[in-house]
Amino acid sequence: MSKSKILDSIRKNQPGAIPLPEIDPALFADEGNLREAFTSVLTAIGGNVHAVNSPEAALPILKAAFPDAAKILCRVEGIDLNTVDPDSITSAAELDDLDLAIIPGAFGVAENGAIWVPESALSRRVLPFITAHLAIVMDGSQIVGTMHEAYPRLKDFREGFGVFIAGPSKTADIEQSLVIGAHGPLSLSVFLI
Amino acid sequence: MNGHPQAAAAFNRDEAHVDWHDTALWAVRQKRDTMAGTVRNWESLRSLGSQIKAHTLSNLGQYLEQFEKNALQNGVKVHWAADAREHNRIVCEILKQHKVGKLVKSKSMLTEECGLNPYLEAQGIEVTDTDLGERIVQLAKEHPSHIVMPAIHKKREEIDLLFQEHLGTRRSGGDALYLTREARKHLRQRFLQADAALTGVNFAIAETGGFVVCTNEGNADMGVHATPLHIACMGIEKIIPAQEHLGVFLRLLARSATGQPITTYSSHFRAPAPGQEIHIVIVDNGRSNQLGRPEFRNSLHCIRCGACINTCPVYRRSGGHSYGYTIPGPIGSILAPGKDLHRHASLPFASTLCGSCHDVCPVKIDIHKQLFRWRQVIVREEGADFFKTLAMKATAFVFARPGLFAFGGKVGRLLLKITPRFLVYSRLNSWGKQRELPAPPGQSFTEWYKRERG
Ligand code: SF4
Repeated sequence: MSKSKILDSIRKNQPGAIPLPEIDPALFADEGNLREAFTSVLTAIGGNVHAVNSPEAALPILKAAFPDAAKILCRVEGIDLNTVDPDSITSAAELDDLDLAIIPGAFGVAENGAIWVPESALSRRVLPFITAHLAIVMDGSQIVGTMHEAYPRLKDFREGFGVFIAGPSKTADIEQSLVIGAHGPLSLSVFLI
Repeated sequence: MNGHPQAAAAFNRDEAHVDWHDTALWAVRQKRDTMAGTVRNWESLRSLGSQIKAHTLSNLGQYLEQFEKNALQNGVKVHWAADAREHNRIVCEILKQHKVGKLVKSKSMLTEECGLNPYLEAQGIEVTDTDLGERIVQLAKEHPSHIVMPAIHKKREEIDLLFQEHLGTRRSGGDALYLTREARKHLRQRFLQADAALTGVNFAIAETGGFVVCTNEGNADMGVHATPLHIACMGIEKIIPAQEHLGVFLRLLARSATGQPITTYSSHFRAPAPGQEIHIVIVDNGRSNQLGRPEFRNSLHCIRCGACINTCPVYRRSGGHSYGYTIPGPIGSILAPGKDLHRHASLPFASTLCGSCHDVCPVKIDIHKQLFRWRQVIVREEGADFFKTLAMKATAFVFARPGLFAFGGKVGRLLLKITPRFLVYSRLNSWGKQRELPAPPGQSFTEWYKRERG
């Protein structure tokens, strides 16, 4: 069987034990305001960041930014914009014409503008990818400095899927010209409460 | 036997395009430098990356078994493939069992290495590469010329024509925004019509049985979440011990690759969605042999960021296709001879040995030293005839380009100045062993000549 053949070959060829180094997050921690750093990095990678006092306060901003959005799926309490019943969706294809998805983010990472979105925040895994525009609402106090501080937070994460989202989808595959909006959302709005 | 010099000469026929290629890749290298400069203790981060990989390789068997056990517990199916043929057969069988007619793929250099696409197509399965760059080369019936930027060798006008022919677009002169939007529409259809999705794996975590896939375009996730069957193919070296190590590698990967702080999507898969299946295919295909070569072992640290490719003066001026191997550039040139020494014998000579690849590598692979070691192996194994023909031609390619030579020389002299004695006079440098190297001159002959001539 190939499994034992491969493992035998590996065991024959792998070197003697080499120790695993410790990661010291303090070595990589930067001084400074996490919220400001997060906002500036996320803006630099193409995200639109808004500071708001409550989810409700995001409503007028979303309405102004997406006046033509007809099909909206919202997973955030306090933002009454839903035009579809999330539970009625049975296939990805039914979301193909989704104009806007609004989802909660668990926490952000200042060094790279990434936001952790667990599967439980979504009605379907495809949601934050298939939507034309994505909005994430998160608690602005939930920002860590680096990825070294992000993973301890995920120590007890047991869900089947989760994703760090950093900005809108993008590509530069045609002569290195940056185009925002590849296969995923054409834009990302982030509301920091 | 054809080799790098002949193919590189072909690429060099379009001078202006070679200049563009050279400059574009150098710009990516510079973005990488800027980004690395913003990270506190970047060098310690690289060391960590290298040490974690070295540790993992020294425990690889155990970690792979741990990974399998946890993945099975998560409800994921695990397959083992000793070589490319077995990999292709396994993938095809899974697809046949699920009656898959249409497959969407995101980027996977491993499936390129295994020649999966032609294999599946011969079995009547429609395969669509969904990364924009990969779709471009697929439509052009070519192969990726770069592991991160698959279509970097293509001019926008060529892409314009290609899309007119296959996607029915209008003539746009190569308008990147227009063409990308059209590709989005075209591929959206493919995602929604597909029966299954195949992805690569950036990191597989022994501790959790989960794995991470990184993209900027969102194509991997579009395919995976729109279809009921997800096949993820990984080389045995993709394993890392625990989730916390993702912190190190995700910090290194995108910064080194494109100068981004992180890719847009870092997707963490652990268990299938309701009604979905996930299959992982773990592939050896020569990797465990490389593990048994101590002087080349750490080439398995590679996280496929492409930084060594972007910085390589020879790659930039010879193009990815000139290497004739799935992974081009410096890293490919130390991996390929391990697979087939005779066939890839010219590759280790397609280098100035300037060491720039090693300087940028996020996991500190001593690529330039391994290139030098392969040269010694090749001269020994392939004999003098080979050396006189191919090796000399490859060397001639390097020396015929004053730009390359200047780049290599400058860095070389700098290295000689800053490299500790024990490195210069180590066993690797058989010449330095016998005699002291001359003090590096402050300026090279070329620089002196330029100055003297005004
Ligand atoms: S060898 Fe190093 S620099 Fe080159 S692709 Fe691999 S990880 Fe990146």
